[in-house]
Formats: sequence, C-alpha cells, structure tokens
Amino acid sequence: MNDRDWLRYAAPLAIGALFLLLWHALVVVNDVPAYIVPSPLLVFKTLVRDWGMLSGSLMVTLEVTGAALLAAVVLGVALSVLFVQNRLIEAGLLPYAVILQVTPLVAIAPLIIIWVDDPRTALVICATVASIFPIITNTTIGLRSVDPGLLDLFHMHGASRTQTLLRLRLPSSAPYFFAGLRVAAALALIGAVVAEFVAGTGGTRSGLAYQILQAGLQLNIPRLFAALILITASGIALFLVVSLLSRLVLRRWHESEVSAEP
Amino acid sequence: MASSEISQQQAPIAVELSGIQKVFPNGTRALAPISLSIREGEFVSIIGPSGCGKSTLLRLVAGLATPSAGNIRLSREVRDAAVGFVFQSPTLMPWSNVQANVRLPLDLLHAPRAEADEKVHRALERVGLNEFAHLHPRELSGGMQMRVSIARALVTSPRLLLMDEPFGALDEITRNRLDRDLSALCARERLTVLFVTHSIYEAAFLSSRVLVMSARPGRIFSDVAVDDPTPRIEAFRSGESFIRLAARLSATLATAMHEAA
Repeated sequence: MNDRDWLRYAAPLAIGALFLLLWHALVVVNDVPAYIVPSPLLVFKTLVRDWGMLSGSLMVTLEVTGAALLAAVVLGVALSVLFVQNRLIEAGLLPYAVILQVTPLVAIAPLIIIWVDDPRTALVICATVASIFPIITNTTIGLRSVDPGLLDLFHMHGASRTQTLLRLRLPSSAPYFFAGLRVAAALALIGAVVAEFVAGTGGTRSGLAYQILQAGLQLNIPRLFAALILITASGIALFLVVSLLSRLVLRRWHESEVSAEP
Repeated sequence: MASSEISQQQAPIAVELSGIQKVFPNGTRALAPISLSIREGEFVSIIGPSGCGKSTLLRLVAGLATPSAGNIRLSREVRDAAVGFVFQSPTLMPWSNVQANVRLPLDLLHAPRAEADEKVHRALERVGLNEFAHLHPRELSGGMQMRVSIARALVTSPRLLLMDEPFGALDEITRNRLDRDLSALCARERLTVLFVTHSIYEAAFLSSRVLVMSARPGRIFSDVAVDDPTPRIEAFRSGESFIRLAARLSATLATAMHEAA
C-alpha cells in the first residue's frame, strides 16, 4: 500500500470527521435546542440508548429489503430469459414493465397495501416493484450481448437452446446483471422505506420508517436522526455486499473487476 | 515431389462444391457460381481482395450459412468427425479457463467428462499449451489465445479444418511461428484445411494449393498448385521456390483486382 492508497481512504474519513465536528460546534455555540437539530453526540447516545427498539426496526426493514431484492432478482432474471426467447414476448410485456417503472411508487403503494392483507407482504411487493426494472433491462441487454463468433460455435456443434442459455447467454450477461443489481439494491431499500411511510399506521408498525414517523410526531428528533443513520448505513452495507458479490464472480475474467496489475 | 502430386491426385475428395451461389437479402451477390473439389490432405488457401466472399465461402462449408443455389457435399469421413472452425479472433469464453474452453465442443455433445478431459489434454499438447490449462483467456497473449482456439477446433479430431484469417491480428513474428506449427501439425495428421487469409506470404508458405478470388461477385480467378513438400520449415521462406510463388500470387491477385474494377 503506497501513500496514495492510504490517502484514498483517509480523505473521505477526514471530511466526515470535519463535518461532524463543525455540526457539533454549531449546535453547541448557537445553543440549538435538541428538538430542532440534535448534536451528533446526542444522536449517538440516543442510538445506543434506544438500540433495543431501533435494532428490531432495522431487522424488519432489512428483511423487507432482502426479500424484495431476492424476488426482484428471481422474477427479473426469469422475465429477461423469457424476453430473449422471443421478440414478440418482449414487445408484448416490456411496455407494462415500463408502466410499472414510471408510475411513482408512492402512488401505487396505498393500493397494494389495501389489496394485500398481510402488511409485511404488501411492503415486500412495493419494494419489489421499485427495484425490479434495472434487473430486467440490464439482464435482457446482457443476455443479448453475446459474442457472435461464440454463438456460431455453439450453433456448429448443435447446441440446444438450454445449453446456449446456460453456457453462453447467462455467463455473458453476468456483468450487466451485477450493474443492475447495484441499482436495484438501493431501490429496494428506498422502496421498503417509502412503502412503510405510505402505509403509516396501516403498515407493520415496526420498520425504521415507522420509527422516523413516530419520532417526528413526538418531536423526538435525536431518535429520528438515529433511525435515519441506520437507513443510510443499511444502504451503504447493501451496496458493499453487492459490490463484493460482483467482484467475487467477475474478478477472474471481466475488465470491470480485474485489478490493473495481476 | 512428383509422387506427392500423384498421391494427392488419387486422394478421395473431402469437400465438393457445385454451382454455389450466395445472394444476401439486400440483393448483394456475394458469390457467383463456384464449383470446387478439395481432396483429403490438401492445404487450400483462399486469398482475394476484401469483400470478395472468402469468409462467406468458409461459412457455407461450415454450415453456418446456406447457399442461395448449388450444393455442398462433404465426404463421410469429414462429416462424421465434427468440422473444426477457427475464427478471425480467438472467440474464447472469457469466464472459462483454457481447459473448459477447449472442452466446450465435447461438452455440447455430452461427452463423458473423463474421456473429454483426456482429449482436451491431447489437444492442448498438440498446440503446446498444457501448462496453461488453468489460466483464463485474458491472462494469455494474443498468440496463445489463438493456440487455444486451434486446440478447441482440434479437440473433436476433425478431418477438415476451416480457418478464417486466424492469425491476421497477430504480429509477424508470432504469426510466422504459428504458421510453422500449423504446417507441421497438418502434415503430421494429414488434415484437410481450407484457410482464408489476406496475406500472400502466408498463403505461399502454408499451402499445397492457393485459390485466388476476385470480387463482386466473388469467384475463383485462379487455382494455383504448390508442389513443394510439406511440412514447410523456416528455410522454405527464403528459398527460391517460395519467392517465385509469392511473386506469382501477387501478380495474379493484382490482375484479379484489376478485372473486378
């Protein structure tokens, strides 16, 4: 590790520390009341004090996000495979996928929450709707971006449709799929939080969004900040997990994940 | 030399094209009627200006495209063993290592794994790459990637090898070396080869027969037999016969291009 590598990690940390310090100083110097802007120290203390309650909510939000992402991956890849089989199927279905994508989640979430009895399932459906589109579009492009020479080779050796799919199209689509998954992971978390906001008291009454809602009503701003921090941290963790997964799968062969010098 | 000529004349026909034409959907006539017989063990190069239909001819023989008219007959021996095809670029699966890439044709035929691995081992041995079996394509040089591609074409023990400008993108030193190795391999195993190239010198070095094509529509302008013994060695490149052949091919090609224009 040379000086530059070290700086690459140190620079964002230093800026973060500076920001917290400035925030703390401004709150203390101006004597800002905690119900308007709490100091970072107070937020941290609240996070520790309310950990029992907040960690439960964190688990609920993470579960909804995880289930939704899994559903988006399974459904999204299955639909992409279907699209690639036949242009007519794609032409018939893609407009509806687009409609689903362009309709704001906040507008459909209330309906889903009314229609689906189990609030947890309703939230998972909302988050799935929010995150499935990048998986479909990216994987479909990936499944089509096959080396024509390799396609000829498969054809020459009498490869079946299934062999071509499993041995050629799916591996070719992996880099595109992971690019989509990164976007989808963030959208699934946003979807889970937004859906819970929309559901309000009709929801599971237990996720992080519900904590924010409650804390806001009670003017418990330090707890609101603490819940917010947990959502952000979840998003970052999710991004890192997906990046790691992508790296593990692609590092032997794809330019995007291969280190510059072996 | 005379005896090799006679044995070649007597060798059975491996590929026979009769009245092959190809018209593309947009109306372009890629190939005028072409009739051609290739005998077993012949190394036939096809040279010609770009766009003369060399690659199309090769794809037709491979069954990757269908002729608009005429028919192609492959001998039983050629048909029974899968035809080997080597593309302009290595065309390897980047996510698989060398071994899995070479095994692909056998995997697609559902060959038993142990038997397939044994064949892969032998194919890699033939191109001198056995110690690299577990590397991925991107870890290899361009020349080595091309060798992997050749090993993959050889793994099914084909009698007919179709090669579409396989070494065109390589530097001259690497290309000369691969040409030498290919000549030795083909002579040893008496492979029938149809080799598309844009290099007069490569065609002159490798071939027992050179077809010079002219363009629009593509047709065989000249059919030149080369009687020098195979395999060709480096010394052949500086011999009088090679130089004379290259000059002759060069002149023929110039005439072919002039006629087309």
